[in-house]
Amino acid sequence: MKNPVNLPPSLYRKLFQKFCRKELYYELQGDLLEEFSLNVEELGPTKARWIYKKEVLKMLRPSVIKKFKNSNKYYNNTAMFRNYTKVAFRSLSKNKLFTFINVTGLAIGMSVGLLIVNLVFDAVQFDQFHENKERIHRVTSKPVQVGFRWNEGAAAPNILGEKMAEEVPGIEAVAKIRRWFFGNLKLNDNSIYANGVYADENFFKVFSFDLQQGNPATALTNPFSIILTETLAEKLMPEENLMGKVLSIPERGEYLVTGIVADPPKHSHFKFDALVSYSSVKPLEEQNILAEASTNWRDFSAGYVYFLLEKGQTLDNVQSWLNRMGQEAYADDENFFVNFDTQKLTQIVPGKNLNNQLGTEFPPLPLIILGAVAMMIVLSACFNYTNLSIARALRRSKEIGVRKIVGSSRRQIFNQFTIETVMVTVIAVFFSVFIFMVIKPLFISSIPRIDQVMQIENPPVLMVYFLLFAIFIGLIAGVFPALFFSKIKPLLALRSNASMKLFSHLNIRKVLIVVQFSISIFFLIAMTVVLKQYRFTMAFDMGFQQENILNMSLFGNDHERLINELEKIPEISAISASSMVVGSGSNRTLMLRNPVTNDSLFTNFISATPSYFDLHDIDVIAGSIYEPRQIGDNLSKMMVNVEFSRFHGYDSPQDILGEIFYVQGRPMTITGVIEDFNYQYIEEPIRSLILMESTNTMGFINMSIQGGDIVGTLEKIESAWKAVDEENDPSIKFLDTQLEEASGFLLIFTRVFGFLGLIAASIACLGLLGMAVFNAETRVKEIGIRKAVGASVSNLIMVLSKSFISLILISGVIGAFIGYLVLDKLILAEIHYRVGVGLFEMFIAMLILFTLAFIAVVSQTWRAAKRNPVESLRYE
Amino acid sequence: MKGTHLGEFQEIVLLVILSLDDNAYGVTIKQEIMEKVNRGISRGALHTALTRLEEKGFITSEQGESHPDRGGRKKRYYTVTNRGIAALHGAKEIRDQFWGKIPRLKLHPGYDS
Repeated sequence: MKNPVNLPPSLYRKLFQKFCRKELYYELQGDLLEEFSLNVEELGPTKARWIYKKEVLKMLRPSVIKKFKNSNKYYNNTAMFRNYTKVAFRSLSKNKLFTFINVTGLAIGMSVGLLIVNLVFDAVQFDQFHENKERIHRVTSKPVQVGFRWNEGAAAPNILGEKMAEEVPGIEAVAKIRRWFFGNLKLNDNSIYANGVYADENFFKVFSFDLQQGNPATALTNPFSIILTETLAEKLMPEENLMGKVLSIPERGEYLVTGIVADPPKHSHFKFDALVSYSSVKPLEEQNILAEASTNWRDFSAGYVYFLLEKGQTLDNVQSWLNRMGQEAYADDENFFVNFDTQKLTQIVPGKNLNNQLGTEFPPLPLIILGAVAMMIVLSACFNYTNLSIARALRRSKEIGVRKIVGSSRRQIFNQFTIETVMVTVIAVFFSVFIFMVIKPLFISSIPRIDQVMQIENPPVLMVYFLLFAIFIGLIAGVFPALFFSKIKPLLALRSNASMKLFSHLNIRKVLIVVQFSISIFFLIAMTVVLKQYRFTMAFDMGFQQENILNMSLFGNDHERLINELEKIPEISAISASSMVVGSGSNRTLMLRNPVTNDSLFTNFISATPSYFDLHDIDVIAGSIYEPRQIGDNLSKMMVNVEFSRFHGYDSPQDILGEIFYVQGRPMTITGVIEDFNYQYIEEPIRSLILMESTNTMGFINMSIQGGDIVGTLEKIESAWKAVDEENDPSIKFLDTQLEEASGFLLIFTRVFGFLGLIAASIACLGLLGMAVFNAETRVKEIGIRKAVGASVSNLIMVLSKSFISLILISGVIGAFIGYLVLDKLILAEIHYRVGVGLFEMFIAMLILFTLAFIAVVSQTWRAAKRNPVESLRYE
Repeated sequence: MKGTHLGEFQEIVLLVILSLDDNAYGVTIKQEIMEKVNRGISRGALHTALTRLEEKGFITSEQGESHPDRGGRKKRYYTVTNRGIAALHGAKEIRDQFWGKIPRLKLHPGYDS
């Protein structure tokens, strides 16, 4: 038997489901099945099945079977579809100008949309390759201290991770990561610079990175083990298996290669060239090569804690334990505690804006802003389509009238116009993909760090999303005209004077034009204002010497050796070493305790040799610069800025001289006070700063150079570098260029706003042009009569352009108002030293747009006004 | 009068529903009719009758519980409305009227009970 005994014949069952009305099916099929099972017991399966078949066939009665309304529509579908496409093609090729405007506008608008589709497409793929991605989380920390504002950070003390593995039930594994592994890996005569992290033995248990050689369970267990990525191994020693080889890293000892891992995927939120066993951290800390962070509960920048929940476990346990630890571990300081939180792996990118990210960061806000802006532009292009289509209703109304009289239903008319719109958008998407290909590399290169998220390649599946996007846009743009057309009453449409009545939708079209122009004006204002801020920043006196200073990265080399080499170059007038490039904002903080109030707080810090101050032309206001440190000297002297003395309650900088403050627990005497200078970005106000000569935090050599032969000097510096570090190429930059780069984001804003403004403006003007053409064409007779009665050309232009000009004026006011609010209160409000939004910028933006709009309108009305009235009135 | 006319089969269905009290749904109604009235009917025919009765407002229905025997589908229980009961009474009265007019049952020759 084909069917199981207790089931009725499936063919009949399905047949019944096919023809039975939906609302009756449940009851009737239920009854039949129940009866069938009773019959199986009483009469046996064969009889029961036979009865069932009979019952189903007897169900074929009008009260049970589905109604097939309008069944002829189903048969005619393909023919009608062909007709729609044909008519659409004809009408598109007949109105070439309108088609051109529509296709161009949509293509330009959609290319921006495609960029965003692409960005979202790349962003949502992050960390999806981890097998256990649903169960992996990381601990984030937000220290809370009285009188000091902290941001939530992605890092968490590693000691917390250790405790967590011991104490919290329901966790399968905790992976601790310590960042900032770097150095030159040497093997025989080969050497290569590598960046990476320290990772513990649970690393491969939690993450799904592809370990190609080595044992995932033990490769990271022993101290001084290292795992290399394929690319790094290949670069270090081509075509050789490095497993089991010993690499030496200067000042960091020797490491045994215990594994080769595939390169981390592009969509991994953190990337590495090498992984070093976490058990190496302790010995390195003991030798003072690494800062002591692994056992420090107050480390919020070096360590990361990721954990894998057991299956079926929730975060509740973990969270309540974290809440407790955030208080308990810091019980010794009543003014300090930490809010620990958890973050799911897949929500890291795109995710919250956190400090101290381990790798790629991509806060959702820019995505939302970009998305909203792109949507506005795409919608603006849709408005054009809607606008022009409805405007053309006049011409198509007769066609629709005839169609309806012949027997078209409303739905059919709706379908016809939707198909036409989708056709236009699909044509437009081809062009927009071309534009997209051109602007994507520009987009990626002009926005820094977006290349971490967005890939330059275009996977084929992306094109599918593009097509879907185009159809979606087509539906948005098409639904309004399609609704409008399908509503047209045939009798009205066929009456010759019906045209005026169709115009009741004029207000919506006016609103659409105003919206488009407001958006354009907003972008243009934004562009000019941000450009003004950029100029202001560039000209701003940051309080230190910017010209003729070269900065060279140390790459972990000893700064004293390098300085010794560089001092031999006569063109260099002064040399210092420091921990950061001044004015670029990448400063560090240290824990400082005020001996009087006993308050502990984090304070910005720069490490610098004594010559730093002279070199940057920073004046000492009181006291004197600390002496150069000799070998064996303890770190005990520091300089502070005026803000520091003011912040700690000293009326005059003189008073603070000789005071002792505790930095990371170490007593430090203040030897001098310097003037305030903008050591961070210009967006930040000047805050308290301490400077000291801490040798192991040096990152840059600063050189003041003289003489005209810059190229020659650079060559000499390079050869001095080679004497110290043979493997790496030096990275030398001019300070003023670096400062320009630091404010580069403003330039990027200008570019982005300018680009968007241009696109929005061109779409808006295209739309306006279309409307002007249409307006002039429909008023041919009116113009003819006016002219015959005696109106002049300028008079007519006035009459025809009046409504457009007032619309643009209204949108100018709206756009300027929104521009003022957004720029002055939102964007510029983030910047401490800033410009205001002035009337001048608004005026410039409006002038640009008005000129464009005026050209669009007047060129069309002028043509209409010049026409000979005899021709326009002779018609009919 | 169209709309309130009670057909013979419909009358039986109504009576069966009343007699089944609150266990009247498709399967039980059909079984009752087959057993008590000794009349083979299809579920489809019963459905038509029930639909008519519902249109006339003589019965109402509501969804009940489901059962694995029914493939997890829900039953629909039927109850007779007051209007349905009135219609039944009307039909009975008409019959009683005529029964009352017949003085006594005359048996035709050759009838054997």
